[in-house]
Amino acid sequence: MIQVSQLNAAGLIEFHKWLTEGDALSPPKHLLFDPEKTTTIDAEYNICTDRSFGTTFEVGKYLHDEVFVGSIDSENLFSNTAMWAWISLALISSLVAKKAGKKSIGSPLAANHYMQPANNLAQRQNYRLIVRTAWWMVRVHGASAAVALSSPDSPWGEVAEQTIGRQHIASHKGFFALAGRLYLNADGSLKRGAAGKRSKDAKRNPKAKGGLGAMRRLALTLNQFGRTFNTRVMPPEKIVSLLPTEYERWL
Amino acid sequence: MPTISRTSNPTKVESLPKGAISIRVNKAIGEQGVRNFFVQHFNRDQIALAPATRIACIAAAGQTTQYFELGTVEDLSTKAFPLTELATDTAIRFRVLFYDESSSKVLAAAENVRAIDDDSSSPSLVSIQPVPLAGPLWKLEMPDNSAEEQPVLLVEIEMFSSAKAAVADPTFISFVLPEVVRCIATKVVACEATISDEGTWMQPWVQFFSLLNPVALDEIEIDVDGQKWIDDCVKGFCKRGQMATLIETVLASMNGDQK
Repeated sequence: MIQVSQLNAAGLIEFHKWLTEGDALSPPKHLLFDPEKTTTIDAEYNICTDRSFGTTFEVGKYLHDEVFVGSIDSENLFSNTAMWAWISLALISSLVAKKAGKKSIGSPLAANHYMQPANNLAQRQNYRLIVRTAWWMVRVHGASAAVALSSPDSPWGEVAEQTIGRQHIASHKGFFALAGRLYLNADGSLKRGAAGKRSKDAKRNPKAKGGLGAMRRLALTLNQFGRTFNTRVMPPEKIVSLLPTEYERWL
Repeated sequence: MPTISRTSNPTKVESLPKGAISIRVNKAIGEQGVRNFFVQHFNRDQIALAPATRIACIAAAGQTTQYFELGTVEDLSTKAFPLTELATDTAIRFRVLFYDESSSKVLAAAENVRAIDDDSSSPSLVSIQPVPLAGPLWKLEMPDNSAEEQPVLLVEIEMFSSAKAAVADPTFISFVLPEVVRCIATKVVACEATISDEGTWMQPWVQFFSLLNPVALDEIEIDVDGQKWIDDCVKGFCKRGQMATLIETVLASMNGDQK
């Protein structure tokens, strides 16, 4: 266990360099302990840098339940982006690609998943900072956050992007309660097809059923309902009664 | 089949006129970093809704939002609500919903309401000045009726070396400010000041009192109901926004519940 710190300007530059052009198999974890590249933070939190996690939800649960405990200043924590960069590096082994695709296994994703760019234009994508969003989601939604953060293939799966990336969905407790009911198996894993996407061809063909009723469609449906109903106060059963037939197979 | 257009409003959700509701965001006094908000002004006459219509508010910043229940049209809560689930790196916007409790249908909404930022340079109605008072710990000085300069709350300099230090003390503020409000309300009643008295220091106060007390001063018989009107202004002030939170904090600390 070591005390949580923050990367200073030199540390952030070096971490960014590794994220964009470094050897994926050799993360610069030495930065965590380098007094020239880090500074302390006001509060005292301890973290284990050797732990590994199967999903981003587990990362968030660990940070919420075991690291940031007791009396915390959540606003200061949220805004300390240099600290979140330090934590990203500390837990980097659990935050890299887990399945070969665009990125090879073990490679980091785009840099903004690990540190917040100074560029104000990139502010709209701040939610992609994985460790901070995972902590925040577990803090707000508890176990229901697993719906969006349980991809076994990537620390930032498509479902995370499609739900947390939508302003009125990310904090919508009703959405996560409903999504948990529709798309999670009894063991907490995602049902097959829950993360499905409606293809371009299917969108052009009204008879094609591919991707219908999947979680990303639920986010859109709830956003639409939000114009005419206060969905935040509606219990999941009441929302279910409004859902169109495409969701029937998930009930 | 009727045509649906941008102007036909098929959802029947009414838009609240601009300025019908305003919201203020503060940092809570005595606490580091915790923001809160409260409804500063709501003109219920600008929208025709049943008194029991419920009001809710969604505060949004970046990808984060937080939901609050604000009561009903008839009984809107003006207490301060802590903003604990919002991102701190972007501006806050509010969506205020008026909805039917049984069906949850939205009847009216105010979209994209910007917060009035208390950290900005919005003028204060009273300024605080530390001075040697040789006895009392505070004293309110009110200018001539027609003057434009605002009242000054003088505080003993040995107690507070700066206005900022006085504002940061919840006990001082919760004990003294309601009485400052009482003194000024009493003066306003004595002068029978009205909202049209432009160019005097009392005019913004009359406006402020209209937010605290639903009864306008020119609607009452001053000799009969003047004292009650003053009391209602002070009570309204104590139940409002940050002041209500401060008083709760002070009462809790006196009962031994340290936050």
